[in-house]
Amino acid sequence: MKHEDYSELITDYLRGTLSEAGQQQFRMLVEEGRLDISEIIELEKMYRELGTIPVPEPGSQMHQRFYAMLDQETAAMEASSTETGKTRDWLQPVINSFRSPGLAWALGMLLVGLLAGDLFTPFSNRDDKIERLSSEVYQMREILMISLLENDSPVERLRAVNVSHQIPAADTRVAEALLNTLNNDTNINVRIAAVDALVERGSSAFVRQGLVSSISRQESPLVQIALADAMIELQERSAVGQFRLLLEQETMDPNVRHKLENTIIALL
Amino acid sequence: MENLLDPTTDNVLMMKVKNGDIDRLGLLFERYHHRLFAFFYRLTARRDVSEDLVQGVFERILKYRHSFSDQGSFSSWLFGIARNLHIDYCNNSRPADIALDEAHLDIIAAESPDSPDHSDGNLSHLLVRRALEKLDPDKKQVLILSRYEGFKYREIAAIMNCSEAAVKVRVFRALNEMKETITAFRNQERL
Repeated sequence: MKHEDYSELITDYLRGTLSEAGQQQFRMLVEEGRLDISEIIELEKMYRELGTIPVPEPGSQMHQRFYAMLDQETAAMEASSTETGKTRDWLQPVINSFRSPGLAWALGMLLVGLLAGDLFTPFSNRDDKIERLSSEVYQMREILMISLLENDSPVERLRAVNVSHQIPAADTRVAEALLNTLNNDTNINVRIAAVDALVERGSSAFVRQGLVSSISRQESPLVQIALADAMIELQERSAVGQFRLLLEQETMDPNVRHKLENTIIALL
Repeated sequence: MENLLDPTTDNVLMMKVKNGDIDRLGLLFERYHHRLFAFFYRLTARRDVSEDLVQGVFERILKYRHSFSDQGSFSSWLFGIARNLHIDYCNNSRPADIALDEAHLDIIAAESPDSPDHSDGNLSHLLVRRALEKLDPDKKQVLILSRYEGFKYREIAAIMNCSEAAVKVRVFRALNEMKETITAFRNQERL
């Protein structure tokens, strides 16, 4: 087949990844008749149609099977660990030693010493430990949140936004993820929840700037109103310009228009 | 390139799984099970088989987690496993088992807005699905990875263990075969 000589060129054309030089070569080959444009159009049509074949949703039992397997693997790993057996072997002589009164007294004293030592441990060390544990918990929540935000289900993405309430406001990665959700999520409820979560982080200039920039990107009246309320709550005057730009749209819902006009008055 | 300091990147999570923190596989499952299901469904047109194969991929990940190297991307490694699993499935199944699910084709036909009339030049889902089904597993895989999964040719080459140029040739041949199959189907309809 003569077209096979140009297979790279044609596949790049179908994917829309032809370089400028490639485009020129492609045009030239068509003009010279070395590429049959009707055949290319046929291929293009089929390639496009391939993208529209529907795929059903997987069943929920897939989750159950996966997590059952994960639990089983975890249990198997724990069982295979010989640590438990080794500890038991190590403890047996100690238990036996309590049969001798002298050794029992010595071990008892050692235990008292250890407890006393623990009691007088400097508080700063304990605080460090608590702080480290808290930080790990926050990190886990952050991972959970970012992962849930990628879920196809809006319910799960709403859950993700709710998880963000349990992460300290200083975390910029969470703020970035929430702003990204506000600007790009397809579901209005998720975007509104993101506005609420971001208001909580309104002490950050980065978050306030992100909220202001998002105003012009929102087309949903409900999200526009949520942002108007947010700006009033944060007393963010730099949003006035963005609201004025929105008001220039002639097709705006009258209720939203009224709300935005009042917001501007409240901010000035 | 993934940020290796970010604890949520695929590669970092998989490295944790490799080092024994296997609970992290849950996050990777949440991220990828839809894509994998769609990949297998397009290959097999069977929901039950696709669900089994997704489970199989994660079983293999656990089994071979020590072989993961964060030099390449996790998604390429994952789809490499998926691809091999599909080949094993094709080799170990009877032809009747891997035949296209006719009941599903009826659903596609019913849902297809341009079906049954495609005299205006549009192709029906059903026709394209049948033509896709006629391809051998290798061509079907390369076409699906390229068309649906959004992999670059370089990444598909890594998954399929061949050169980038070979990937492009396979995509081209697969499309041509499909075109010929569709022409043959149409000629049969006319008779």
